[in-house]
Amino acid sequence: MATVRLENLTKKYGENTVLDGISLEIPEGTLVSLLGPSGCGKTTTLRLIAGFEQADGGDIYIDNQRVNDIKVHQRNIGMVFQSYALFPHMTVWDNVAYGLKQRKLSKKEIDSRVKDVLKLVQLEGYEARKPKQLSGGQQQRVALARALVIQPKILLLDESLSALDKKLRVEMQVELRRILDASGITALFVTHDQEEALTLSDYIVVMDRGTIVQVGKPYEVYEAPKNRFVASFLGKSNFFEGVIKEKNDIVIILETSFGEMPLATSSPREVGEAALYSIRPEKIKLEATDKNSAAESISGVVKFVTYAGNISSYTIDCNGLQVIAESQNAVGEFQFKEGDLVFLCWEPQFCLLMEDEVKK
Amino acid sequence: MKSKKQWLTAPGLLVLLVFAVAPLFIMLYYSFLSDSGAGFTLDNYKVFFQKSFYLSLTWSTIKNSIYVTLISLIIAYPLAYIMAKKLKGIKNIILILIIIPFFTNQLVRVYSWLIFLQDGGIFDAFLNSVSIIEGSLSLLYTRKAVIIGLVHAFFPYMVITIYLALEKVDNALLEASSSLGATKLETFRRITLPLSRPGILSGILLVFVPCLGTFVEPRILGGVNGTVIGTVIEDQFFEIYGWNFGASIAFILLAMVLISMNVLNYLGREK
Ligand SMILES: Nc1ncnc2c1ncn2[C@@H]1O[C@H](COP(=O)(O)OP(=O)(O)O)[C@@H](O)[C@H]1O
Ligand SMILES: [Mg+2]
Repeated sequence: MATVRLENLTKKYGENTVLDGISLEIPEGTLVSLLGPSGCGKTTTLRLIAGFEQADGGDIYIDNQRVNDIKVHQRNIGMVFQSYALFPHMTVWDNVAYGLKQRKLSKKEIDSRVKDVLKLVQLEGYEARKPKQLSGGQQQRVALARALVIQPKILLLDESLSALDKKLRVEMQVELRRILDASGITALFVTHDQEEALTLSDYIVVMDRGTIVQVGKPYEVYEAPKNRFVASFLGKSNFFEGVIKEKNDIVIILETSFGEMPLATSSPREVGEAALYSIRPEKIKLEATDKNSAAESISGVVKFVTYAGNISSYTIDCNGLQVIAESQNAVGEFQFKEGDLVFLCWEPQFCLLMEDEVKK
Repeated sequence: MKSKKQWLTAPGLLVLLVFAVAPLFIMLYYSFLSDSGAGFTLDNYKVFFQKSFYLSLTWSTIKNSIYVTLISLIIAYPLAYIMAKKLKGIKNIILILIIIPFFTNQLVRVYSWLIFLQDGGIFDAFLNSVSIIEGSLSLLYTRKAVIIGLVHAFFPYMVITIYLALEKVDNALLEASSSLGATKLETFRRITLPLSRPGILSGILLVFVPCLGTFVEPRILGGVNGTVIGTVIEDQFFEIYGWNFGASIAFILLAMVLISMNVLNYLGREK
């Protein structure tokens, strides 16, 4: 258990800057996930912390000790590889005991710790099996046990669940959370699966092309995405881009390439400035008549209705701009059908100003 | 469906039967023939085990093969390791260099060693010029020359089988080992080496077994000092016309081959 701090960490492969000065603090005992599209540098970040790669700039601190120059085998870091990397010629027991034997612990101590951790991951009775005699989920748990048993300062998990099928993955997410809570360990978890990041982590770190875009609790990042990248990578969003023409406390009139649009929002931007706004599909309420008293709402024509069991998704054509709205199937039938005229209403706080630079 | 597919093995089986199994039985038949022409006898086998010459010959043949195998292993392992784990681009060039002996004619290869090793040959000249020795090492027509020639002929098999085994060892395993606290040496001892064991064992098989029966290198590079089972068998067939005895030695050799294959299989089985 420890605090991990990255300061201005930079990594280049040849001309290619893979990590561009990232800084991050992982508080003790939390589960932090690195979320971002493939190739954004998540694995590289883990490999730098583990010591498999050397940084080209910046520092890595574990418990306020700079570890850049400490060798991998002395860092005391637990790593769960994407491929699990179980030793194929060893039994489950020997795989898990491996790190303890390296630490030259007594046989008694090794036995009791291996036993405890196998109990924690619910693999008692599998001690004598070889990795290839286990299912994917079981292998994953052996890998986790092997990394946990050495009581590492931090546990690093690289897309550890992505090889499992959907149902097992969801089960393992719950399981992983239970195991990590029980061991109280600090963990950094890499994923490109937004749902996994939202359900599993204490904090989400959103990465894009070698930089950290946003850090926050899952609901903070989801409810208040900073920019277009976060708003569209984590969940779905509708975007409105244009120049502010008029504004009062709760509504602005945005001059967009699809014409003037009234948006319910309380924006700090001034009239004449260009800006990008986003709103989540589930925050939009569709009404047959305009319910907005302060000003008129955006209106549009329903183009498609998609039924997805628990929710219905409406694609609405607002003067050429396609807006998506989702609603719960509370009544068991569609509220609107294709061709209906609808008004799009929402609470002003849900329409968010994005930090992106917008050209006028 | 199933029986149709099985028919596809017929041509292959036929070739095996005609060109491998049948001659074997013919030789087996000869090995029990009495020289006097008076029916079947065990004498051809008895002679081999009764004369100490043949027993010491067997032993020195085995010793030769062990030397060749060990030297090949010692040269091949580091080479295969570096190729599999450290090199990227030039790896393929080295692989081709290693495979070239496969494609060269055996006699050409052996005779070039003859020129290389003879008194005052290229090898001596080189060692003289860098003042390591004076005069000649007199290597040609000794067991050392035979072993040098055989190592050259067979170590590529060793490199390739070990290389293929090491290539399959996932680097993530080595990283996992070091993240668990193992030094490089420990990682090698506990992960890399055991995982390359199948490659080592098949390398040993591919070097040791053919070495037992070889006769070209011992004859040309070893001269009178190069007598091994292989050369004795060849003499029986082509010089002395003692086919019956030659056939019996060939079968004793075959038995040695089968025994060593079984021992290696036993060592290589999964624990
Ligand atoms: N060993 C390497 N040599 C060269 N480029 C690499 C190497 N490892 C990763 N990269 C590059 O670094 C970038 C980030 O990779 P990675 O950290 O694996 O991304 P992620 O895990 O987020 O998908 C990618 O563009 C990848 O091609
Ligand atoms: Mg990755």
